[in-house]
Amino acid sequence: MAEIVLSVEDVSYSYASMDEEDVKALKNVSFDVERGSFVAIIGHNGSGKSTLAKLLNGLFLPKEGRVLVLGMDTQDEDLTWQIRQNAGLVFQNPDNQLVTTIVEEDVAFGLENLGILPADIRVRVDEALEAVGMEAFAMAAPHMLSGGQKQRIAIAGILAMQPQILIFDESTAMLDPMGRREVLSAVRKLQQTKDLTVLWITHFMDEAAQADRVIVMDGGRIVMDDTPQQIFRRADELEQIALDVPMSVKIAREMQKNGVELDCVPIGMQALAEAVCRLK
Amino acid sequence: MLNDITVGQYLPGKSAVHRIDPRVKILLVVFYIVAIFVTDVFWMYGVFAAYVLGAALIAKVPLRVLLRSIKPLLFIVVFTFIMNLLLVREGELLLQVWKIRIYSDGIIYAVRLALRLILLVFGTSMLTLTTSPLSLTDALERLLKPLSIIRFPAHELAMMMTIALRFIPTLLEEADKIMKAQKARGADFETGNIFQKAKALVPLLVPLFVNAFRRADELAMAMESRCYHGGKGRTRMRILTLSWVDAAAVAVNLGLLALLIIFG
Ligand SMILES: Nc1ncnc2c1ncn2[C@@H]1O[C@H](COP(=O)(O)OP(=O)(O)OP(=O)(O)O)[C@@H](O)[C@H]1O
Ligand SMILES: [Mg+2]
Repeated sequence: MAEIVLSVEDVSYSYASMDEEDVKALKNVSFDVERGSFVAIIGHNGSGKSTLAKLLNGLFLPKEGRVLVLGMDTQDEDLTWQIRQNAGLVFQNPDNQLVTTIVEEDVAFGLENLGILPADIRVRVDEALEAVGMEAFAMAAPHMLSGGQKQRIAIAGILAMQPQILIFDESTAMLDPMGRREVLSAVRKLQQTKDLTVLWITHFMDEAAQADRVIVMDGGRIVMDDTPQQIFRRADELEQIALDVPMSVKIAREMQKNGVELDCVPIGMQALAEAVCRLK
Repeated sequence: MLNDITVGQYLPGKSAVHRIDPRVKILLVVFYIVAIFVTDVFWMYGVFAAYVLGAALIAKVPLRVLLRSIKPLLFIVVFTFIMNLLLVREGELLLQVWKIRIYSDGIIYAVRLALRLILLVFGTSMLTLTTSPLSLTDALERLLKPLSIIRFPAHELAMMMTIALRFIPTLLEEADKIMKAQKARGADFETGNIFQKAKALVPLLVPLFVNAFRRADELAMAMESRCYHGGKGRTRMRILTLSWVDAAAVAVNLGLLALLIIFG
């Protein structure tokens, strides 16, 4: 069994509220993530995904339970910067996570905070920009870039810190289909070539379908945790918690209703096409 | 309508003036400002004008751009000129029309102050025209750093300026979007008196402010995620090194200083 890089142990979190009862955003959540895996987290609005993401790099601290990043407890203040360097978090709105007016300066931001030597920063910034295919834009101003390009810069900024875990909180939600594909494929490539562990929070089932493992959240709890094949087989249960299935699964279900039975739950169009070809 | 607002007036280039270390450039401009306000000798203003125009020539900054930089201050220049002319009551009485008296010293003061203000604007414009805003804030931070001993927030100030520079275009874009959306619903920003116009802006400013606060919150999270914890222990990617351009610029200014000391 592969090494566990992230473990969430019986974590609960609630937001304090002035007038009403505290909002319980996470309730007794537990899971482990293995090195090199690509884990998708899905759940409808308010199910606690963003709260979870912020707990994973110590932005929030659990009210109960504990979060271990590479064995380091997020509760330990001495380890905060080491944890954040190792578990990089990319947010939804690319506009609100770029800090400076020149792309390469922005990519350098995290490294400057870590107190890395200037010459090393230079090398790592260039590498990170190349890794996301944005080296031609090193001197550009962020506000002149497209959404997908901005998000790739944000990823480069995290990547430059050389984290082992990347957490994406709906990082493709504000992009057009082109930008979405651009960002996801950049991340997949990184995950495979650099042996990174990726947690991919999303509302797009077609993106979740590409993961090694899918965690489904509802009302602050984990309600399913399995491979995409096993998860999307349970389309009716997903529907009950206001979640969809990938397009390919939808088509297969429609075919089934019309009396055409496929031999598997096709995850992705490729799998669907293959399953259809296997029909006589 | 909002698109013609640009942050700073930087004209990118590779000239010697552009390549002067921003720290040196700021210090030289400070020296220049002090100098034009110290000297009383009229031909020295000519020397400083020649100095600025020479720099503009080297930097390939069009004269038209430099002249345009006075426009926002033209009113103040003209106003102080007239005030000096009318209110100074020293020297020879040159002209009297009804109650208005113009004295010789009045003319001298008026012209001198106008020249100083114009030279001031030229000098500072040359700085912002040939230095990128980021270099400027960066240099300012490094220059002010020694003051952090007396708790002067040099890093925080520079960070605020950087973030402002980064977000002004984003917020303008957003204001433009909201404006268009509200125009489409019949809002009118152009007609009416100043109060009506100001009132029309309220539904523009409210969502803009709400969004700005949300942005600030998210940006703070993103910065913390990237290990931001103030200026302590922070390094910079860019290394500023002095070169012969800086030496040359300083030499020219030492010449100016010599003139200043000899002729006052
Ligand atoms: N700052 C906050 N203060 C109070 N309550 C909050 C705050 N942020 C989130 N919540 C509440 O916590 C719960 C979980 O929110 P969270 O943002 O984690 O959900 P999410 O799964 O990320 O939703 P979405 O899909 O909309 O991004 C929700 O009920 C939400 O209203
Ligand atoms: Mg969320």
